[in-house]
This record gives sequence, C-alpha cells and structure tokens, in this order.
Amino acid sequence: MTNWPQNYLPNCPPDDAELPDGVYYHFIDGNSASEFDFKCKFEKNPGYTNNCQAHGISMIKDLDDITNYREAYINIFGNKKVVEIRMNNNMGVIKNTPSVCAKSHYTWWKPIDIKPWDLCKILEEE
Amino acid sequence: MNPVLRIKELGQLIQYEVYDYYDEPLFLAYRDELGHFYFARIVNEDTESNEWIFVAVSQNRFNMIRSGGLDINSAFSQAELGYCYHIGFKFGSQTPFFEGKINCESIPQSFLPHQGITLNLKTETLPKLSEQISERAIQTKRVLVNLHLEFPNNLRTEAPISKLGEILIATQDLLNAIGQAQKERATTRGVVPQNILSTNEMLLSGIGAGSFELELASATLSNLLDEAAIADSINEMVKLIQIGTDGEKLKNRLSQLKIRVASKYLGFLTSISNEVISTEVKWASPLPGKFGKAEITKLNAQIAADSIKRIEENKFNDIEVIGQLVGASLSQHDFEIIASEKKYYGKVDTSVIDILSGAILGNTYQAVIREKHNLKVITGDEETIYFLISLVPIGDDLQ
Repeated sequence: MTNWPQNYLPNCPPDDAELPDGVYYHFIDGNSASEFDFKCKFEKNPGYTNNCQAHGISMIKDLDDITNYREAYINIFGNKKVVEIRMNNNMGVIKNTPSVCAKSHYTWWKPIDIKPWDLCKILEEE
Repeated sequence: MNPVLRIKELGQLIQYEVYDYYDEPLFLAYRDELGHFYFARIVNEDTESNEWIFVAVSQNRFNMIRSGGLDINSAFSQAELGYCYHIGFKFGSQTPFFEGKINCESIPQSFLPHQGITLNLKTETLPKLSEQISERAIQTKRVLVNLHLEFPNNLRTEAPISKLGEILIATQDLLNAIGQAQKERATTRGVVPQNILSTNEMLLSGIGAGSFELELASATLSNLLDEAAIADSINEMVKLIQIGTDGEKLKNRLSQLKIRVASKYLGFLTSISNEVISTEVKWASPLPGKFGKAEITKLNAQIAADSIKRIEENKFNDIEVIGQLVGASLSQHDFEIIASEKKYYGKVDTSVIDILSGAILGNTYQAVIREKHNLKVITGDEETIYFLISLVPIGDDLQ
C-alpha cells in the first residue's frame, strides 16, 4: 500500500501515471540535496492552487532538457546544480508532462516515506 | 504563479494555458476579462518572491507566436505596444508587490530565450465552420459541401493556394463528369456540355479552421420539385470515396459511371494524395434526409488510385463460324481463319491443338472462336483478342 500524503486530492495521482524506472534528474538549490529541494509546489506554498500537478515534483529524463531549461531560463536555472536519482517501482508514480522546452519533463508523486535527498547524487558537469 | 492574478494595470487575469513548467508554470498565457491575451515568463526568483515579464498581444499576434510563426524572444522584445510589464509577486500572492512598464529595448537578454526558439503549437487561426451543415443548407437553400483537408506540417489555418487550387479543380471536374454520366450519355473525351457545367457548378462560400476546411455551395438554388442536380453528383462522389480501396467495388461503380468519371476520380484521388494527409467530405441538401460524409487517408487515396489505373472491363462472346483455315502454327499456338470476308487470328486453346495438328490449310472448318473484348476504363483503350476453342472439319474436307 503506497503511503501518499493525506492532502492529495481525489484521483491524484492520476490513473495514467506509471511506475518509475531508471535515472531521472532534478534541479536543487544548494550544493547538496535537501528535503526542501523535494518539496512540491503546494508544500512550499500552501496558498498555491491545490491541483494534482502542484503536489508533484518535476523530474527530467533527458539530460538535453536540463540544458534547455538553463538556456530558456538562465536566471532561474543557470546556477542550480542537478542531481540524478535512480528510481524504481517502489518510489511512487510518475507521468510524462512535457513542457515546450523539455519534452522529457515528468511529474513525480512521491510517497511520504521516500527520502530522495538521501538517494541522489550530484551530477558532475563539465 | 497563481492561475488567477489581480494586477492594477491589467485587471484580473485568468490562466489560459501553460507552455513551460518546472514545479510550477514558468511560461504561460493569461486572458483578461475582455479576452485580451498576455504571455508571461518568469525572469527571476529568490527565496520569497519571483519576477515576471508580461506582454499584451493581439489575437493575431497570439496566434502567430503560439503556432511558431514568431519566436518567443520577439514576442517580448518586439511587443506590439513597444513595452512589456515587469511584475513581482511574493509566493502565494495573487497581487504584485511591484509592477511597472519596461520598454522593449530595456529588457535584459537574460529575461528571454535565444532568438529563434518557438512554441510550434497547432493553432486554429480562423473560426471553425459551423458543424450544422444540414441546417445551413436549409438556411441558404443550397447544397453544401464541407471539404476538410489535413495539410502536413501546417500549424496555422493556412493552405498553399497552388495545392488547394489543384484539389478544387479536381473536385469540380469530378462533379461535372458524374453529372454528365448521370444525366445523359457520357462522352469519354471532349467538352462537357454547358448545361451540365452550370448545374454542377460549386462556389467557394467559406473557409474555416479544423486543419483547413472549405465550404462549397451549389451555384444554383435547390428546388423542392427538382432537387439541385449537383446533390446527386455529390452523393455519388461521396459513395465513391466511401468505397475506399476495394478494387472490385470501385470497378463495378466506375463501370456504371463510365470512363470520364473514372478518369476524373483518379484525378481527384491523385490531387488529394499528393497534397494532404487526410480528406473528409461532408455534404447536405436543404431537402430532409439528404446528407452524407466520407473520408479517405493519403495512403488509401493512393491505393484506390492504383486500383483504378488497373481496372479493365472484359466481355466474352463465342462466335460460331464456317470458314477457311488459312494459317496455323503448332509451336506458337496461333491460328488464322477467314469467314464471311472477315479474318480472325489469335491463339489456339490447348484442347484444340490435337485437331489443329491434323488440319489442312485451305480447307473449310466449322469453328467456335471466343472473342475477348478488353476496355481499359481509365484510358478508354480497347483491345479485342480471339481464341480458337473448337475446330471441326466439314463437308468434303472430312478426312
């Protein structure tokens, strides 16, 4: 039984979300990953619209899309580090929710007992 | 960024659609209460707030940017008003803690993506034609056809005029040919009579979204007693399209309609298979219950066209003659018989080879000759082939 946060809306995560498998990437704010880096928008800002995607965390599958985000939003992502996480099917569910600049953008709905900040490693970039 | 914003200068804005997202929308469109569009992009953030740049766009500009006709950089750096809005929000707030205009030339390049980056979203730049084609046919008292053409690689409701022209000409030619086949003895070549042309004439009466949709209207008004002749032609055209790729059914249908229709339907299929991914034809008459629709993909149009090119009409006729055997080749299986001053020559059926081997040139025989008449439907080329299927010596020649 997956241990979802209690504030999830009905039908969230969506039925068409899938079990994750493989390596995904995520931007973090500091030099190492923290719990804050894996808070969803709704957790960071409870006044934000309470929709299902706001309870998910953005993940990127394709490294080229990391570059795309940095080029399109240099002031937002230009100095952020990237972590990689090897995900498996015990880590909640994930759904491809493409952005115009990043087709491999996924939304990850994370069970409360998963602590990705302990599982990820900083991506060494040239 | 909240889906609903209240900005002093712009009024209430409601989120229209999101283009880029990372934990929250980064680039999106808003609409105000009057339907005006704004693009908004995040340009900076800190631990408590973020900054955005908003640009007001006309409907036409919105369509161009959304469909990739104008890049994102230009949307802001070449704003129609000459300025954008630079607005800051505390996290969670619907109202800004600062807002102000910023001239296009003052926008820092770090606020915008590189030039040339576009949205490339399919965008309907014309209003859709009404779905109620039967209702409109009654209102206008005309037979109407909606031709829905899916052009490849076209993100806006636009169509190349040369390709469109080719399809429209092919459509009118097909309707003329069907009209002629239905109303009088069809000719294979030459000019279609003027009365057929005028009763089958279609006018372009509207264009709309839905990839690219054309509304064609009969040039003549429908008469309750004498339905516009064009209705029958269109109905026949739709039936042909409904047959799809079934070569046998196409052959049967086109054989009834004769060569000109086959040729013009081939022209129609060729024009759509060259230019569009899929074609849908809907039609309606002002008369109750008279409507229909058919659709065909590019691939199926190509298959149907190939089938038509292969269609032959074959007729067989067995002729009994008494004549003189004037030529025969056992190795080539050929024969030549003159009967009633007509020369028959062709191939010998295997069942007759033994009899032919004992036959004597110059003698008279009772023969059954199978006449096979082939007509290439699409070209009108005719060919008659003879087969000798029976040969019996008669009279004094009997050995």
